[in-house]
Amino acid sequence: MQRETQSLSRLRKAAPNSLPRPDGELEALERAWAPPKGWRRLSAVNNTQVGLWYIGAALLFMLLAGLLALMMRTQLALPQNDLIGPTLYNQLFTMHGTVMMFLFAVPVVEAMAVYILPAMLGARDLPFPRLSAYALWAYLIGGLMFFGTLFFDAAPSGGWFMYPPLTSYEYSRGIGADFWLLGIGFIEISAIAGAIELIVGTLRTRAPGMSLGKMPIYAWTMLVVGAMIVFGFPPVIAATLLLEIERAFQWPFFIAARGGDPLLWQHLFWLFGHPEVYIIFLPAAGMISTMVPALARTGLVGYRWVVAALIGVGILSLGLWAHHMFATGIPQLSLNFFSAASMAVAIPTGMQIFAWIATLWRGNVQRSTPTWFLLAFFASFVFGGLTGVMLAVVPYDWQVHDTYFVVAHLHYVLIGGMVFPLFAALYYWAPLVYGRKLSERIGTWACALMFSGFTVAFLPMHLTGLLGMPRRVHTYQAGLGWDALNLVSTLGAFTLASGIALVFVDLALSSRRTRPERPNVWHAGSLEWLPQGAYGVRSIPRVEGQYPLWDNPALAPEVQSGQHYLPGTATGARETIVTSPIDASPQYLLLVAGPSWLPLLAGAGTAAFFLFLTVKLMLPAALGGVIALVACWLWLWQTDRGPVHAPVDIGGGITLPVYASGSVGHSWWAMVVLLLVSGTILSALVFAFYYYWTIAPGPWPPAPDTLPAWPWPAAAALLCAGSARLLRRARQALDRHAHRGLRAHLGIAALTSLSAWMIAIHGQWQAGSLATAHAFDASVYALLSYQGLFVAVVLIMAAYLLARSLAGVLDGIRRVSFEVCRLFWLYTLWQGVFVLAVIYGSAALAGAT
Amino acid sequence: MSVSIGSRLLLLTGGLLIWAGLFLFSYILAALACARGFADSAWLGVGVVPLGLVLAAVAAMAGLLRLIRHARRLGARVQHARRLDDTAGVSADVARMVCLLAAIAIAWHVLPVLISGTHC
Ligand code: HEM
Ligand SMILES: [Cu+2]
Repeated sequence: MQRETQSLSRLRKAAPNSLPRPDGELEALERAWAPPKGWRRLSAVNNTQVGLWYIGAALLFMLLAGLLALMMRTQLALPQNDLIGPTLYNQLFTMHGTVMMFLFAVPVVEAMAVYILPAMLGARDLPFPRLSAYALWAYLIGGLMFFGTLFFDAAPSGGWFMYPPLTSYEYSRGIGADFWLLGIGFIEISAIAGAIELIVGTLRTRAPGMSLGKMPIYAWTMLVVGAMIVFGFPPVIAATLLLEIERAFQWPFFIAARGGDPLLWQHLFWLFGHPEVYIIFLPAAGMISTMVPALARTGLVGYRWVVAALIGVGILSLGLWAHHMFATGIPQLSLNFFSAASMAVAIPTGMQIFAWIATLWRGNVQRSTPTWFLLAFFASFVFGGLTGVMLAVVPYDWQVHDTYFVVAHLHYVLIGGMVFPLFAALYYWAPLVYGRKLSERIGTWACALMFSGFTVAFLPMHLTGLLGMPRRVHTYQAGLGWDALNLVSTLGAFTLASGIALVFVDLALSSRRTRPERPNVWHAGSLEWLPQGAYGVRSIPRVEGQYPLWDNPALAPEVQSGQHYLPGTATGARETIVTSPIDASPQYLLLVAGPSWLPLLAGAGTAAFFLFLTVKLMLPAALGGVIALVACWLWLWQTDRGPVHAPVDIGGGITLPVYASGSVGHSWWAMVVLLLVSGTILSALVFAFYYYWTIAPGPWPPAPDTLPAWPWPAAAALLCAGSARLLRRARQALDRHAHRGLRAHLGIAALTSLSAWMIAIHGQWQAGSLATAHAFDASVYALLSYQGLFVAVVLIMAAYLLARSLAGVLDGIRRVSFEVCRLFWLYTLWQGVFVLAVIYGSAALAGAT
Repeated sequence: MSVSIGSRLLLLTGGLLIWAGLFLFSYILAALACARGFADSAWLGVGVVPLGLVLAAVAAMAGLLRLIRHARRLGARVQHARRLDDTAGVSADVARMVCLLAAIAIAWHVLPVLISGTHC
């Protein structure tokens, strides 16, 4: 490492741009990035603004859910307390858990990344700022509405994992469960939007020279987390869809009497739920890997080991889901695998912990608030990890399942593993926002209160659990040995809350004393500590090592005086450099979208659509949906601007085009990620389809005579293939600038895609298959309906492309819109063929044997 | 040097993807064995399920070995070329570490079944 740095400095080339910079260059850059003023600020989309709002919204939800926790702890302070009745208590723990997990933990780690990551990568913004703005508004508005259900006695009460049959139509008649299913289903959309942003951002907008091997660990982490969201969230999206359909239309996915199985929900939920834990923890680990070297003033020990550990956690965590189901009677044989994987995953986490300890050991640690919070993290997270390994032992889990031992464990890993690091991060990165550190004195007190309160609240709960107190009970008898323990826990909870309150006092006090400059108070080595304006860095640095600010002490003045790449705006608009994914060599200039009301409008429309749908107000729901759709349409319309400018000289002899189509383009990458998500949702539905097979007591398919004759699916598959061919013709027409041909082929291809779907669904229907009859039929219709959703999107895309062609903004050069839609379209067609093959192919196979 | 990001990511994650494949295989094998009632059946005195598992694990380990060798060659090439860009070197190292993790996870994966048997 040391040697590498030296040889680099000997070889250091002159900065890519020379001084003095032309007059007005900085002013033009400032103009392009000037944030909107007054109430128009709400239309801002750049990551420094949206990121802050996003963090604020997530912290707000933490406070709200925390209040619910205090209510619960107050109720539990004394035995046989009748402050809160069972109905409300059920709503409280459900909302507390749900809001903490879905509206605080996941959003806050994404929000931190939205704020910090571009600066750390040396980008001026994320590749799709309006997408993050949309994600923020949809999440904030939707989340507040969801929380509001508490005030109308309409909150869900089935626990944060919402197991049927308790949450089925029969046992949860109110609309609470629907709020959960639709509300969370739609929060997930916002999480996925964030993941697309993070993946494309880390892979494509790194500063020139920041190859994969020099990428900050935090960026590696967010890349892994993005991938985990892509593969982790789809199962629960599928599950919420299925349960909501069951509740609304009585398709019996989880009803045992009609061939369904409530356990299927648990599989799908925890296929998501365990990766979720790491989706929450890994970003915290990434922040720790950033803070520890800066606070210890030495590079992270074992960079490569840590990267390997991140990959290890990311993949191993996919094989843990059934450890939440040890007590459900799944075959012992299968449990072995999940138990083993649950222990194996401790290894990569341990590797990271040793890397941090070694770094602290080697370095010279600064005594400051972030350090204290990190120590609190070490103490509590290691403890929680150990109780986790205890729980991975199947017989032990049987003993303490559903007791307060589990409540203690999960708060040790969640609060220990992500809340303490998050607060460390707030103190560590606050100078980027306030221009100064937060108060060391208040911070130290806050940390002491939080850690002691946390320990007093949750350490005794292990015992309470071992003594047999079940979770999710609104009260308990006196004299079972739980009284004192509960009282102590409640006192601890209030102490913890007072520590959190103190942090907010500190934030409020500091916000009145902000300074414009952004000093590198920790003498950190990563790029976010470069001097920045609303435009990010003045010029985009050339990166030569893992700690650019340490490797080249002159980097900050060089960057600020405009000596590095793109020291201004070349086109007069917002821009950032897109680089190649492995070695980060510059490829083209991305024109970044500016302020707009459309994301806000689309977000509000989406939230309204889901809300009104839940309370079955169809007209307002339709209105919300149309608003969202129109806003998205207009917003996308503005994005594909074509080569509006001649290629640009960014310095160092590099000239970049301002438009890129094909697989180089960032939109193409975003679409690929979206398709990965779609494919994973499909796999979850296919998993459900086959799952019914393995549990079927009798023959499968249960009623073969309600399957269509082979010509139906065969015709549908042929039409899909034909549509793909037409699409190819359309592309050839586009290459030849043959506008008529393009439109004709697009139109016919759309009709063919639609008719393929209609034939498939009609075939199934005319054979006499009813979705309400049996889980098998329901799962067939679920697969076909999922395909229908994609076909609907394809039709909208076709209309969009036709409109663009007619408006003269789609041609052989300005063609990104076409390429991105084509990718989705082709995927849809092949998905159609695959779905038909799965359904009718396996039915035929099973019938033959 | 122009490797695609896809193949680079495949190299980095390959070891554990092999583990994931084995996991999926075992999960399906166990589900079928219990649902279709052949969990305890034997072939020439050897349990069918343990046999299947061990064979799959051996295949997986062989896959890991190949991957490790591939990564080592890549690493050696990088050193030889004394290139300043360390991406390939880092990737080769990380890939091997991931393989190591996968090897431990795989050993761990089959042992319990061999020890505690194949009850459903
Ligand atoms: C102020 C700190 C907190 C306190 C005092 C607290 C307290 C509680 C209490 C009393 C319960 C209900 C136990 C029961 O009746 O079964 C609970 C459940 C839960 N908490 Fe917390 N909690 C806190 C912070 C958090 C955080 C930060 C998270 C996640 C990031 C979290 C996630 C959960 C979850 C997932 C449940 C399970 C809900 C369910 O059973 O459905 N909590 N917590
Ligand atoms: Cu888990």
